[in-house]
Amino acid sequence: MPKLSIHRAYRGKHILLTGASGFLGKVWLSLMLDRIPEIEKIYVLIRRKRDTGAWERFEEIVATSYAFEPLHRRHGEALGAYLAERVEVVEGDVSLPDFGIDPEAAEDLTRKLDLIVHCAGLVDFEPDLREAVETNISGSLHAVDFAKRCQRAALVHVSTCYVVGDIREGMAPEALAPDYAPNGRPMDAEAEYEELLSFVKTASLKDSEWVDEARRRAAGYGWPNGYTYSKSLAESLIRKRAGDLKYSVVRPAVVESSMHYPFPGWNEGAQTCAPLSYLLGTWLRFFPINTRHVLDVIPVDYVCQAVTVAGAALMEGCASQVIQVGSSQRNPLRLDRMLELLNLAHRAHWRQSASPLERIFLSRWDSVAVSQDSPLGPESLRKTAAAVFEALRGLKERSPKAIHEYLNKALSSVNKAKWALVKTEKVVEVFAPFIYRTDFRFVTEALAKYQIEEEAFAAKPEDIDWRHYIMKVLEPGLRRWCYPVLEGKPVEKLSAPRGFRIPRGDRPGLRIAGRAR
Amino acid sequence: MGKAKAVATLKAPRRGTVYIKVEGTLFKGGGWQHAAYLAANAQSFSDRVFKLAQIGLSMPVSLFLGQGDPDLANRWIYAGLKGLSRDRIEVLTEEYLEKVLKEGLRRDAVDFFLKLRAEGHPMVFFSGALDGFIRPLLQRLQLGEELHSNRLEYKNDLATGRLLEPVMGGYAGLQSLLASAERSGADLAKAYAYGSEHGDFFLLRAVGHPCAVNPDLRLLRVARELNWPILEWD
Ligand SMILES: NC(=O)c1ccc[n+]([C@@H]2O[C@H](COP(=O)([O-])OP(=O)(O)OC[C@H]3O[C@@H](n4cnc5c(N)ncnc54)[C@H](OP(=O)(O)O)[C@@H]3O)[C@@H](O)[C@H]2O)c1
Repeated sequence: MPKLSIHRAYRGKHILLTGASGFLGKVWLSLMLDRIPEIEKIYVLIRRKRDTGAWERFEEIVATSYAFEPLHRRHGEALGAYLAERVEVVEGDVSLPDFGIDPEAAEDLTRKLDLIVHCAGLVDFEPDLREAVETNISGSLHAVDFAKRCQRAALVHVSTCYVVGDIREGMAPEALAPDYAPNGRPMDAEAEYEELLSFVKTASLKDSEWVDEARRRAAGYGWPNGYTYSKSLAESLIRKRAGDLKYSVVRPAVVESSMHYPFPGWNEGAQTCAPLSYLLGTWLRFFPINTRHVLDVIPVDYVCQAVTVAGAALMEGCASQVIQVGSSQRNPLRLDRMLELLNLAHRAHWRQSASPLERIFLSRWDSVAVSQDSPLGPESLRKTAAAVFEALRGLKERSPKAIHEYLNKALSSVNKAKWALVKTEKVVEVFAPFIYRTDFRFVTEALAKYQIEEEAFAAKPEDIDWRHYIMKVLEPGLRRWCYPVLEGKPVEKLSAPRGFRIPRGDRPGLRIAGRAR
Repeated sequence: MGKAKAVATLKAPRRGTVYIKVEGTLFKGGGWQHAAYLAANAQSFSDRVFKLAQIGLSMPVSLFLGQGDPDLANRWIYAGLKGLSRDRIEVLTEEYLEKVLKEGLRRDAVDFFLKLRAEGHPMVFFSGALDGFIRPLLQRLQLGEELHSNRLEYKNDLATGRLLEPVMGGYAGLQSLLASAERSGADLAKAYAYGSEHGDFFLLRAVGHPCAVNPDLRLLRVARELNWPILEWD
């Protein structure tokens, strides 16, 4: 069993992080800065967004994201100075060779870097093919090329467990095949990538057709969506092109609210469980879920810990090629239990509501699992709503003007319900591979084999108490940080102490090392 | 204190074990209200209806088939919880416990038993309700740890509807409680017992100092006949 000291491995090291503005990247960056101050320097690669440069974006992120709350708490007014010492912002874009970093700065980095943590990615289950290729495939290959150019840097590539695609049974292994396709159809990853590049350059499609095209290609090889297709292709190509490069592929399952760091419940965006959990807390009662299947949920801080271990193992020479991070092998959470616990979490919330309707009725309105073709499922209900809408419209044409006002009201209500059901159906469709079709379970042996000296980096999925996690951590976290996104409402922001600044300019420390080409 | 009629007779000599039936004595209502709360909040509406109906039938079943022993009714009630998940049962039980603490507690009874405990009496609680409900209640009230109550059987974290032996709440349960008291050398002649239902008679008559607390009609009649102290707490 390889022994690892995280502090020893990272002492004095130079690390480049991509995706530092994302959910995972932010938590990892904050955790490293908080828990491993021995790191010499972390370079964070951030792209420019319209008029806002990377440096301004970084300062804004640190000032407003709750992921950095522990750092504000620990350092107070001195945080700016601490960051100026520990962090450098690099303006760049992973879709460009060498990440589009200014050549001089890039050269400098190749001499200094010990580790690249490639966390940037397009996390959209139904992506536009062009963006998926650009970010998830080309972006990953640029990370490999850049790491190879470095004098000694190793690479942690963050992928996803779901690259395994539509498996029939058993557990997805921690293995990396060079030309992988889930359904066994012959795949030549290099040829596929070449063809994709030329297709993306030459084809002229409407936006929605680019999404369809990604879905079509994925389905042809047995992946549930364009996201997993692009992530898997990237893995195959990394395997083929890595050569002597020391690398590790970290595959998280469904990354969810943090267990401990930055604090219990922290979450962001609305990509994974949020829409599902949100719908279960509404009046929707019947939801297509395969209750015997498992949903592999893992808190974001567990994933950050795994990324840290993967990096340490690379730098200490005891790396695993693939590390899967999930709960399904060691502490499986079946979907019937997940549904039950989410129902109970919503109940606990609505019982406190000021509105009698919510307190008395919605709190008792548990969702129930049904089969995908159930007449009570969202699809049938949407069809019924559409039929009722048409019938009411017909009635209005044939009825006296006196009752038009009532009919208009009814029409508007039915229409609203119909559109809510259309949205629900879309969510159900996107999530069907994970909550209905396939029983995804992942081997997670690689991480467990390390004996980590520091307890803070050795949390185990088998210790998760699902009732506590879902009712007290995950759902309240989603409610605070993610449901507002789904409702189009503003999300609470951290307000850094007044006058928070990260020193820049000619003072030593944080500066723009490069500019996107 | 409420309308305590016989407190004077209750000065217990030190160290006499005190047996206390929890439901009806410490709080209003019984185990079946708790079971009904669980049933009424099952996941699906149809389950709610069927489970409540089954629990509602426990009374006539007990009357016609139980020959006065609450054991059958108790088993019948908990059979109605078949299929409920451990998560749901435990979460709803926490809710129900809060409700009881807020609305159903007999404060005077609690104070009285706290005093007996402080005087050094070993306290033994017994109940036909579920352990997961009664144990935390006793913990919250800091009344004691020794409890004989019912435990649901679970398979794959779903209630099977059966109770684990020994089933409490009926004569058989009290018999096993008395047997274990005898095995441990307890002197029942010096012991005190507080019961609220006729079903507790079996234990009350076995101790030297029985007492009826807010008794049901049948226990009231017996208590009067046998000249037992009767307590009425609000
Ligand atoms: N979230 C999950 O449940 C989950 C599960 C398994 C695996 N993963 C993997 O974990 C990684 C991080 O996911 P996440 O949840 O943190 O995603 P996220 O919140 O959407 O963040 C994505 C990050 O990638 C950056 N990025 C995207 N395109 C870029 C480009 N062309 N150049 C530079 N940066 C770019 C984004 O920067 P901007 O701010 O500039 O957009 C952002 O920082 C991804 O590789 C994902 O596949 C995530």
